[in-house]
Amino acid sequence: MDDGSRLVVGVDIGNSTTEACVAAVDAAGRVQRLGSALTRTTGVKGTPDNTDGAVTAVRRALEGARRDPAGLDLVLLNEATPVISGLAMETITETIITESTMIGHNPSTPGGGGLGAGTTVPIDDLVGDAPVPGGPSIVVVPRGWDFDRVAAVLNDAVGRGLELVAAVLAHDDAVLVANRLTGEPAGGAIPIVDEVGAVERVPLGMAAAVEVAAPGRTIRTLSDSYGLASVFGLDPDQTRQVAPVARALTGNRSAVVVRTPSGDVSDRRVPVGELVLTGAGKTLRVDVDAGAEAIMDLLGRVQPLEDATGEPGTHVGGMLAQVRDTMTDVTGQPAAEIRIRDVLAIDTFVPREVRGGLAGEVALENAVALAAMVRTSRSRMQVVADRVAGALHCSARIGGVEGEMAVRGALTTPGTDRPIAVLDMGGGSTDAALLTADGACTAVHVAGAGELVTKLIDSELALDDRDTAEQVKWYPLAKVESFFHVRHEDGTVQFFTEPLPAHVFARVVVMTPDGPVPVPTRHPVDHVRRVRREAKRRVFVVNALRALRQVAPGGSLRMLEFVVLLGGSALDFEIPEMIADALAGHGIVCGTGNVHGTEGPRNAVASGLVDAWATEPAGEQAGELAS
Amino acid sequence: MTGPARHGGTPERPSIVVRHHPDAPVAVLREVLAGAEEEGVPVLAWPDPTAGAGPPGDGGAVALAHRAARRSPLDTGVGIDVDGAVAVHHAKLPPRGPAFVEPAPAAAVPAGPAPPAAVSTGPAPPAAVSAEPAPPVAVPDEPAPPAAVSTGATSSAAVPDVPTPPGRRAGAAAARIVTGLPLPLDGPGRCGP
Repeated sequence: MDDGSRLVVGVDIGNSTTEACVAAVDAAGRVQRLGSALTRTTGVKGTPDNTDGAVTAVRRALEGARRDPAGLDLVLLNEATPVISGLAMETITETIITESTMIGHNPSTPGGGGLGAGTTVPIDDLVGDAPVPGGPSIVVVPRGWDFDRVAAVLNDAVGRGLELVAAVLAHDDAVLVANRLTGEPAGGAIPIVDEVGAVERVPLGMAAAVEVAAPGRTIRTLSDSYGLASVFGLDPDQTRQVAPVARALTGNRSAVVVRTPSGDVSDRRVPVGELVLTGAGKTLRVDVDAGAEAIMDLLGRVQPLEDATGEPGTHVGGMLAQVRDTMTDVTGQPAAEIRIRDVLAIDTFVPREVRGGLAGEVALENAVALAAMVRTSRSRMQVVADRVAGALHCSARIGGVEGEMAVRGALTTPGTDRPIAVLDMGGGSTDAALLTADGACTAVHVAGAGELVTKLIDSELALDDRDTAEQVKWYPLAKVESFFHVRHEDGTVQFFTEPLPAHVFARVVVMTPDGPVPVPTRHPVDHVRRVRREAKRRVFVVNALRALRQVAPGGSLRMLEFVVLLGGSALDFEIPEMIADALAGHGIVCGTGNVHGTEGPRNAVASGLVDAWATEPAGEQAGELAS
Repeated sequence: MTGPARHGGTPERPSIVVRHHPDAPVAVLREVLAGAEEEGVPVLAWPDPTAGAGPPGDGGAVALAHRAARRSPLDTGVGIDVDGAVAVHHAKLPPRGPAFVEPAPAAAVPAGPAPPAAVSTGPAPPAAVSAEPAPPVAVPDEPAPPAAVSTGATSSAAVPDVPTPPGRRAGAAAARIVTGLPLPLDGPGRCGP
């Protein structure tokens, strides 16, 4: 350049994004930042595949700064070692209904109300002039029956002496049928449960009970062990057996229980194999179904972790093996040399359709989610540097180690000072680095970050759609209350002058920049919000504390003074405050990074690379540019 | 029991209003009324003799639905055209932007095993012009999800091989606009224009 300054680009290749920062550095080492850009990382971080992403980021940054790529003097890359993380989930409980004893069911519109106990009778048996069954009867109506005809047959049968106490319907007709019953008790007074999809599997000629609670209430008798004992005349042993039925029905507005000779609801633990953790000269084993707490306790006893393996044939074993294999493919290191360096276990739950259920009943099964991370010391960034140099016709070199550069960039946040720790919250791993007052830098990576949060939200809300889960993670929720207004999750309302689309009417929505997007769930806003915040807390707050303890002198958080949050998840609308809350008790100043007072939590490493180079003696700089 | 309001007039009681072409399929009308009743919202219906005579498009389900919505004390109306296409409208929505539409059934309307000849033979008979409103039961918002067993998939579990009769979803959609519940998304009906 004419004024003797150099055009330099710092490039930070991260797990999910590659950032570039363009600057002009003059002969006196003064840095004038010209612009930055961001793109998706190509390939696994720290491998030659990164070249494309790095070149794209550099070109975009130059374009944004309106600089001619031909004038580019030097590209600086971070020394990054591959960090590969994996996720797996093991469901550790299973609810099975045998012999169709129970329908725990929340149709949106059950009919009538109260409790009816009697014998199950098919409606076909009531057609014509045949004598009606004696005793209290619960009529079971298969699909294909029209509501008017059901009501007519029932009214006729009651006229001939049927003691009708309840009905179970396949279609969504309960209110319609209830409104058309004329017999005693007066129409509407018997409980009717509808939308029972597998109604043909309801055992006939068996003792049964149907309960429908008043609007806004939940059932009281069938969800109570002694209520069931009273209805069916059970002895203490039998009552013990039906206790799981009562528990499974808790919270429903309507339910059907059929007592069959050997019917049962069982809630069993699924053995899912062992996790073997090695470290600190010990090898310890834990059953994955013991839960996250037991796994994390064990992990604490083998720190620093040297390796982890899972039982072949289990999800966790498969995931750990796959992480290892991917690293082998990426680095060419033999699998035997690759070690799992961290795991994070989290207790979660998965809504699953109950085996043997009749109306699509869903049970919340317990599960353990596990994130694992592997890193190697073998970096291939020099290859990336050579290829970038070739593609851009300029010099390129490795300008510094990631953790140190991140700290250097974070230190440009107004109001910070040494000792300073950074928490880089990315997609696959959470990284911490500490720069002490005397200039020593230490860094760690722990498993579990944004991807794990998305996965927890996806499975706990049974969304089965990663994109929706990602939106739930990123944006606040609201409930569409009319065609013209929404109520946000904090209770405030917002009016719209254009009508909101009908497909979001009365639904829980995510308020994205493109407008409200419906969340396919029956849960209220509060529940979805709780799931989202808990997922973030269990991953990021837990990992922030774990990672900072590993870099803090003596493992004591009190020795830290400034903590700066960096990375994509530092842009989240609530994660920074959750971490700041958790650290406040330790006398730590914690906040979101604002690199150079303008860049926010992005670009710390990329601009740190440029700043580091600018402070180097001029002779070394010249040597690089000449080569 | 109140009868229908004055012909073409405004009903005194809070109810959804259905206006249909005089020759609209009776089975579709019946299911629209049933859909609203199952959701616990009163509904009144009458034929619109002008449906065939007005300017083009005036006899269409959307135009009928918007006129009905403007007559409804609940601001919610349903229109059924001569082919059995159904639209659900709200008085505050733009006339051409209905909340929910259900296309006309492709062929003869299949009904249950005993299709009633008239609209109803029930003891509380909705006549062709006046559905006896169901008792205005408040439809609660869906109860809090149970801790253990619930049904996340009621609609998917229900009757895969017997389709919901034409008109039923539209009737339910009209009621759900009143009660503030999500409109049915699956099936032949669709939300919005």
